[in-house]
Amino acid sequence: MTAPVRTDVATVVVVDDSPVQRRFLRAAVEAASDLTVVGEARNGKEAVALVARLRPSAVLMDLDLPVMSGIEAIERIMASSPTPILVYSAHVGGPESANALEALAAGAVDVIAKPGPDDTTSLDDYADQVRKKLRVAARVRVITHPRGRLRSRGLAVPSQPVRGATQVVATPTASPDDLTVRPDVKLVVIGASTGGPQALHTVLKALPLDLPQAVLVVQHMAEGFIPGLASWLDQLVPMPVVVGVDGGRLVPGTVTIAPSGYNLIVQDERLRVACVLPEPNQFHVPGIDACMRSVADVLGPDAIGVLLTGMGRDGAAGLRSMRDRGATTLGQDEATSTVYGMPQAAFALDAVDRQVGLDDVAPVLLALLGRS
Amino acid sequence: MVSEQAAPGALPGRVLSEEVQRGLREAFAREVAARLPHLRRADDWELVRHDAHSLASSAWVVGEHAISVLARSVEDQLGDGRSPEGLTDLVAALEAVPAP
Repeated sequence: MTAPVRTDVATVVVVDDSPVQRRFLRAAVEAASDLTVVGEARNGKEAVALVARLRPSAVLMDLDLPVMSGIEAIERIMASSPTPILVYSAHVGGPESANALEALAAGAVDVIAKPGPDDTTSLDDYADQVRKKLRVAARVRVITHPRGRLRSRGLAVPSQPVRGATQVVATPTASPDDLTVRPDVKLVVIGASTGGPQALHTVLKALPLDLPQAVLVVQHMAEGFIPGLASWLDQLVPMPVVVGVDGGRLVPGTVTIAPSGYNLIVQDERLRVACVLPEPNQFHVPGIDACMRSVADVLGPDAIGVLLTGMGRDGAAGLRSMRDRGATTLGQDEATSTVYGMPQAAFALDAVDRQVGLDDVAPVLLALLGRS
Repeated sequence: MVSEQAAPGALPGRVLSEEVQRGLREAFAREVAARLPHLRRADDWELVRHDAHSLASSAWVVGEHAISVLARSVEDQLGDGRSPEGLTDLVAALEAVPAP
């Protein structure tokens, strides 16, 4: 007799050329009854074949792989057998962190830091992080990724733009309709979590270099990856992208990303910011709620809040605070969200003036700012 | 905090079963045996960098903190295009790992 197939168990393929890592990750994953490892691959090429054959709920993959690199494997998987991929990388700081961000651009849904000699995480905590991330990843709806499709057809992947060169930015054809044009807005604050890096790229690449407003981004991300995110986006979008610092100021025409480990708080109308340690029980750091509440207090109607894709509820209450103070608020719609969690929570809380598809976020922002 | 001061062979956190821990140590010994010849030859720097990358994380998993530090140092040096000054020490540390 065949055992009944459990539909509540997420199936996982582990990809790493180290037998120690594969064995450890299998043990870590299977310590939970709702997760099981159905296959192991030792390199990128094996991973592509195994995922096509097994069609797992999620893939857990190292990037530094022999035979075929992790990046190429992600592109091929996302082109042929789209599957949520959780990347773990030892390179969380310095130029190597760009590799992890490249994995997100290729279609991976999230990145987790791989512990190493400088890490203070216990094996137990790390295993717990992996399971939590896998549960989220396994629920993500993924689609065929265009970059992989281009490569599979032998076509060139678009190269990175050069700042100062002619940029193709959003044409503000989207009418604000019932939304009021807000020429006095000083700041656009954007919150994002799972699926956020790709979504941020889509939005920010369509905003022009001469935008007279400052843009502040709060992205949930594993400790250490924020500088890499800033560096990666800085190469891809018209506006310069920097990491916020305590006592600094948000600058018009510049994207500032909240740093790891703190809540970034806007302190006054001159857009000075402070890095504040979170409460011990705060789950997501940097916190979107904390940042948006400070923006609501300081700027009132002179700000626009945007909540993009992400798991959980962070940002919903903060966006509501902004709306209560007269700010215009946007939430990413379900159809284009990698995870329709935070935007849904905001919508349920009546915090959203308008839900928009990802491709419409920048055009609607520009229309709201009177850039027509 | 466990990995910083853990004695060699003591798994940080010790949350996995004894059987799993034993299996991890055996797998580590096999991984060391497989990668050590590349590190001794040192005639392919990309291979050495990749071996060091894998060993840094594997050693962390089995509580071999000193090896993890040495391996990450070699990986970083090669990643920056520098000469891997710690390679000799890493090889010596790996040679002290009991054979599988």
